[in-house]
Amino acid sequence: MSQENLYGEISDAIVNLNEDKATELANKAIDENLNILNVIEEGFGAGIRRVGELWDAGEFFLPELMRGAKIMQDCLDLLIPHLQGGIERKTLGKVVIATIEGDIHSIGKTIVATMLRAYGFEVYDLGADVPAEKIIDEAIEKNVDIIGVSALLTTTMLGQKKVVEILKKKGISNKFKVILGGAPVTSKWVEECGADGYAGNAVEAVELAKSLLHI
Amino acid sequence: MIAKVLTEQQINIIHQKSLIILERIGVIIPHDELLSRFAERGANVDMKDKRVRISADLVMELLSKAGKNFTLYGRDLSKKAEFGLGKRNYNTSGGQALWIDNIDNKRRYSSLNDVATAVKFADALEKITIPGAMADPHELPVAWRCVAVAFETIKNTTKPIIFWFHDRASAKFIVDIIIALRGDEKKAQKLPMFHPLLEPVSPLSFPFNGVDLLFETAQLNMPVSIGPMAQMGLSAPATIAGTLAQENAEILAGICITQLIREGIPVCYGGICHAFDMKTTQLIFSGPEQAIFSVAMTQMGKYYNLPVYINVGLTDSKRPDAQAGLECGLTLALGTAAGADIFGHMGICGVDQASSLDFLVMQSEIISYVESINRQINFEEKTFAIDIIEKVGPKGSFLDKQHTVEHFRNELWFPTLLDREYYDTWINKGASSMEKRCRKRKEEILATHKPERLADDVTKELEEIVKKAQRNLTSSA
Repeated sequence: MSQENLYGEISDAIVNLNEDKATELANKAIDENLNILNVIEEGFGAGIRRVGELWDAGEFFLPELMRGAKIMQDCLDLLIPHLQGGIERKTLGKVVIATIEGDIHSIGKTIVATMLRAYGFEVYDLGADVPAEKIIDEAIEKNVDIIGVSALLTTTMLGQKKVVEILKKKGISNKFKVILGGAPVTSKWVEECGADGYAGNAVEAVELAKSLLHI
Repeated sequence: MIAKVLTEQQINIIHQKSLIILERIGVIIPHDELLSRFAERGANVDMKDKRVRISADLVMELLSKAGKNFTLYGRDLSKKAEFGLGKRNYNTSGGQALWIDNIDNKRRYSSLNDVATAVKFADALEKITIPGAMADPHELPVAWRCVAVAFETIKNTTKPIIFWFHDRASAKFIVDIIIALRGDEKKAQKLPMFHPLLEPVSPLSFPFNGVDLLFETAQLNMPVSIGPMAQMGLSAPATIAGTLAQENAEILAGICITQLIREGIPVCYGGICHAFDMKTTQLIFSGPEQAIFSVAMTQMGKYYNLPVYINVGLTDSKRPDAQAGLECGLTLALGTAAGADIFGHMGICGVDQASSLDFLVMQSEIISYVESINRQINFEEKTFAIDIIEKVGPKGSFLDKQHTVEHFRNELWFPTLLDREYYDTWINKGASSMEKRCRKRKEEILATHKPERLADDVTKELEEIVKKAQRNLTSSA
């Protein structure tokens, strides 16, 4: 099988949401010692972009989008340890994401993390109920481009503002783009906090992250 | 879903009261031939007053002869409307005198051109089983109008149809039309495409033409719907129970008429009584009483094992607005849950104030919604997904699971017109109202849908029949 055919098959397996086939092809790429970076970009990456197009066209709904992203992520977990000679995978950018302290609602934030990963971002998901200081420490340590902070409650959304304030106090607010999300969050709130962007849903979050990094 | 408002005992009481009404008070039928047939069967007939009192025994005997189910077929024989066979059918209006092009415009008299537009439109709507003429073209003489309407309706859809019959003379040409369409009389009888509505005039009387024309359609054993619009407090007692008993009596009398014309004619029980509004002085299309009437009449019709037609999914509103959504939705949900066979007439603005495609678009969405409510819940073992719940565990998410991908499309209804967007997305997409979306969808359908053409030779044949009707019937107009 030519490499192009293999890429096509991988892409099809993702679009068909066929986990067994995708896993089989990922293992095959490892066994045959193929260029893993190309397999990721031209096979799995192409597949998830097609999934995104089907979503845009209204043919795929959220479960299909998330399923495609999940299958891709599981395959990436298999492939990445085999990246040749310590080559780092080229990603669109690094993101640290968390639900703010006092708030245990994590499903929306997890969807955003999955979508960002699927579209090629490197995502560090810190979970829920995470203090602002911790989020910033992680952002500095991982040298990320974007900090994503989620809040579902009007009582916890103040924590989102705190993240921006701490960054300013430390004089490092120009090092990161801060994006906010969650049911009570509006673009007006984002403005009030002095953050960089707001997305109403996971797909918009991907678009926002890309536009903030001029991709 | 199952809706009931009457107990078995109450059904029986209404039945008994109706029989008393027919035996003691009787009905007026201004048709001598039919009255003689009643007399031959031992009914108490007063030829001078045109009044017949029918014994309970005769009612039950004639009722037992009536056909209890039938199927209407479109030009495309795979497009069917099945009555009395556990299916739900939806029809658009048989015809309104007035027409509204756009909600904010004034209404105007309808024309034959509107018939074409309306039928073509309903041909495109998946949920409409029986497109109706929707317009009653004022420009054509009444004497042959229904023949032209029948032709125009047939031309614009491949589904079974409904329109208003007028009298016996014009019905003869309509019978010719179905024979020409099907090829011969035998096939025309086997494959009916439309059927007349016998509408008793409450309280307790029948129109001459409505009865007389059945002698013509009976030649093909054409099914008949019997639907009196008794109005509580005006043309029926001011009580729910009294109106139900009288409405039921009128339908039973209508069924007797059909069976005396031809035994075995299939009938549909049209339980379409309404409340009368003591404030505005007109009939109420869709108050809470309408939900009660429709469920009760469905129970009555099913007590006699008959297909049932009810007036639900309607509204008194003049716009496809919140009131319209409330009234159409609630009455239709209950009417379908009661188990009737056909629900109509869709596409009417207010109480028979005009026809409007904007309303029809909204009702089409409501039908889809209500059909989804009436689904059977899937109880297969795999739907419980215990192993998936275990895999996901506390605090997890089901979104990215294969089980979700496999099931969500079957379990979740997707609207075409209802708005469920995020607030900002809704704003960005123009912050549209339901009315606006209905109008947009209407315009899309009008611009794009083309029904399958009627074959040229058949078109010519039907045109000849309409011309002949025009020649023969004009003098009597």
